[in-house]
Amino acid sequence: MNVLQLKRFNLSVNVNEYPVKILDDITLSINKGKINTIIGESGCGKSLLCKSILKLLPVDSEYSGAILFNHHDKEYNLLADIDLQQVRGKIVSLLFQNPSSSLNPVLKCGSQIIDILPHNKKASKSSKIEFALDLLNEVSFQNPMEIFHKYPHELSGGEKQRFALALAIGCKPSLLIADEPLSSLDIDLKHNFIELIYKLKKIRKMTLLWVTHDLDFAQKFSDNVFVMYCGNIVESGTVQDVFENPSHPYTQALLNSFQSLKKDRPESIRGNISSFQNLPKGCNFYPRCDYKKSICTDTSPEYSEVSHGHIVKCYVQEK
Amino acid sequence: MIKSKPILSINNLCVNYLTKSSYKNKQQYAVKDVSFSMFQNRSLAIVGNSGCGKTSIAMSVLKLIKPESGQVFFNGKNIHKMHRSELFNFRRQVQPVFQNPDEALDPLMTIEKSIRMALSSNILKSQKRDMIISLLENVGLGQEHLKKYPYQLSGGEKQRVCIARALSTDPKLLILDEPISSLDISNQAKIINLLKDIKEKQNLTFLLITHNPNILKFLIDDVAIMKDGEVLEMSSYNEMILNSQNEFTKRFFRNEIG
Repeated sequence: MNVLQLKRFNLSVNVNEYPVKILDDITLSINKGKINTIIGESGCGKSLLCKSILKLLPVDSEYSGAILFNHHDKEYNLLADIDLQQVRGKIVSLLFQNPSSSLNPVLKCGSQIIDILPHNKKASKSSKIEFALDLLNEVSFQNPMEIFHKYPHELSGGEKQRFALALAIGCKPSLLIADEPLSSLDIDLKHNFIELIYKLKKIRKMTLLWVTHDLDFAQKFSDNVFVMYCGNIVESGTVQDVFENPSHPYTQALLNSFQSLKKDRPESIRGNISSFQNLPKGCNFYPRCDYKKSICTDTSPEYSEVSHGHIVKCYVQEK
Repeated sequence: MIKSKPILSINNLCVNYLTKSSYKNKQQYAVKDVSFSMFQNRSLAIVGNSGCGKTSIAMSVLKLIKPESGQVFFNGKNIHKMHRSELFNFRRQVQPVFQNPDEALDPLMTIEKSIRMALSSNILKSQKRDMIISLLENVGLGQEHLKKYPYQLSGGEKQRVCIARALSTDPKLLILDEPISSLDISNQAKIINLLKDIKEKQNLTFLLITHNPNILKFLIDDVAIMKDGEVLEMSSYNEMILNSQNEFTKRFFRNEIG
């Protein structure tokens, strides 16, 4: 069953008063209870895609298509004029990359948790504190009362990320979107954080949409993988489909680069990612592609199915 | 055999921070009695988890923080007893490259201006532009980047500019504080290759701070493992991979995340 579906979603934002297309024809489905991972180079639109799901977009952006969300057998179009306060944090929650900039620096941790408490006006003070301490305990703080009285700057990097997680899951969302939450953590903290997320996912039956450029994580922990390049999903499928049978030349180049870091000489992908203001005509990847055909320079390819559920957007793979 | 003089020596370094917490105040040792030496062309990595004191050592070496006790010697001279002119030379010979290029580059300066600021005032104005172009070419960037601002560059390109700026003073020692951790896989590979090339071409020595074991084999000769402000063990990279008995070290090199 799909929790979230994006259908032909396009997004343009204004840069120097000119509209620039960032997300182009995004179609994807997120399965319930699974870990879905988006991978791709920096600047390919991963974070903006996550923010689009919660409609956290620049004021002058233009979008089309549909973002459909299934909650308790009801379907909501998140782009339609619905009360987003009922969605944000409660049905879909977002965990940001840098906890230092996503937490309120002038409020103590305890106050920040009480602020997100559902129907917080009706609850008594003691039940609010109890709720906050339970939540802090759930994200593995051994000393929740100490954390309750601290400001975010008094927490270490790993503690901040766990505290941000507590805020994200406080209202029991069905879908948690995590935008590179591991990139600022060291190996031990990564290990602990992943364990914690797994435990919470199981207990709370959450679905995860995870954005990362850590391919090691994507391979070990994902169920489904989406590969993004210049605002397009160029390949998607199960983790086995994408890592064992990569079909798009970009996915192949990305995985080759990832594997080369384990060898003697690291290999990067030839050239640089194109700027959104200066995208090539046709397929966005063709200037860096080793397998390009003449049609690639002319028109953008459509999605085609390599095997069941394994989708690729490339002429090279079309039969 | 005559042993060469160390380029950098750290003796009994202690760094202490007073953390004023709203809950309770406490004194915290970030670095506890750390000593080691580095020799020309033997690059050293300090590795360990977040908060183990790696960056505090780098900051002490760069004289950006004052340690509680201990000495740092660069080419035999105590950096805390240097005269103004000696300190000026020291700062040109020891250059940092920080983790986050966005925070290291002035957003209001073009790339040309950022590098021009680092070049010596003794160089003629007419020569400076050629030098900047050559520095950028050295790190794989073209003339078209001169007039660009940091926001117009990708993460990898920005880190290249930081490396070009660090090289502009013709340093002997580069202090690399997590130089690839904010980059994606392809840019990580580009920066590792670049650092490897300039290390060989320009006879540079690196002091690398990292919690990523994958980068070490490409750039490093010796490794110091740190935990809770102390150096647990220090040896050559190959010896540590093969012979370390320390559980923390073994786990670190296995890069276990699951």
